[in-house]
Amino acid sequence: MTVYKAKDIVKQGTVSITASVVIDSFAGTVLNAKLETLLTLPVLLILIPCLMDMTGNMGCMIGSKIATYLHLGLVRPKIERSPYLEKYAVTMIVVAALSSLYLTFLAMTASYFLGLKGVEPVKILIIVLVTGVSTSVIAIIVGVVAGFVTYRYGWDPDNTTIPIVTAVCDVIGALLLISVALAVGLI
Amino acid sequence: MFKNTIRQGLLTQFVSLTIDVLAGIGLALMRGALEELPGMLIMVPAFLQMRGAIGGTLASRLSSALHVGIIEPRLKLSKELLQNIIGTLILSLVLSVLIGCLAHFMCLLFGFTSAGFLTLLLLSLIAGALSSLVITLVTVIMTIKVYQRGLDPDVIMGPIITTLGDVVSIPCLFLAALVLMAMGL
Repeated sequence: MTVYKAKDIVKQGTVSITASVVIDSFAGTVLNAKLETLLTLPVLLILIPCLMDMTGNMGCMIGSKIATYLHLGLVRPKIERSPYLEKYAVTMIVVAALSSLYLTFLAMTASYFLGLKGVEPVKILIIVLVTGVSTSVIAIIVGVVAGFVTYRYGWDPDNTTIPIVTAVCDVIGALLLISVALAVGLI
Repeated sequence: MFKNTIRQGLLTQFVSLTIDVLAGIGLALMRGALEELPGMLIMVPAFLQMRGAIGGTLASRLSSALHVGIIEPRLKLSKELLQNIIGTLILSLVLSVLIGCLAHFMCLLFGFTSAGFLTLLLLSLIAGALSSLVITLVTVIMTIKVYQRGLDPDVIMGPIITTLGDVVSIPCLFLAALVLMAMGL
């Protein structure tokens, strides 16, 4: 007998990953609604996987940190002021803002080398900064709530928080990317 | 604020984004396929999410198994390793079918043009099969190698696998699209 069974891996994986894949299909649907615009402004296509990767990383860091705080008892699963969480949230927002600056630089460089037209640096910066920072704020809120709820149910938040946070962030990220691009008049 | 968290968080983000921008460039380069196969863009976020989740959980299980000693830190196909690989490949196939169906269903639900149920299903299946072979192989080898070096795969592999997943998935989707377009579907 082996400790790992392919059957169990499939069974347990199906539940959590299926949920995240279904949520993520809505992110794709939001993008698909603006397919024609995205095809004429490929810099936005470059940003899609990167923004999702960036907020996914935020979600992973926040999700596993909250799980650790709960396990260590530094944070109680209650809605109350917590110096640890507040400090961590501010730290994460700083990381998100600086990462957004870097992503703008990367996207501009990539567009330059691909010879893409219609790329306006200031507008791209606003889109990435607003989307990156607001999605990270939402990642913190969803991460805290998902961590608290699963912990109170007696589940291990290490297993549940990350897929939930990353999938929700993808949907919000897609919505914000399109909305901010519309708001600054890029599309 | 936590100075260490900022430093490590930024390091993770910068490395991850520098690699992931290649996935973005890939997506920008395949706009012909996105136009030719309507509904394909719907599956992109879900596909990347699936790849990251399956690769990440595989790395995390292997890491635990290496720490506990269930799997030896050698590149040898043991029974435990085989079960992990089979489970991962089946999971990829099941979820690829689901993603293909979801993309077509979303088109119907929101009134978008769809390349067709069969086309989207095949697209997801071919891309899913290709990318899962690559990612599973890379994850197994890298996790064991990282452990052999005395590093902790629990800490390192998560961000690496999700990022590599993006960079591998986009070309696989592109390749699958090219195959389907060549077949005239």
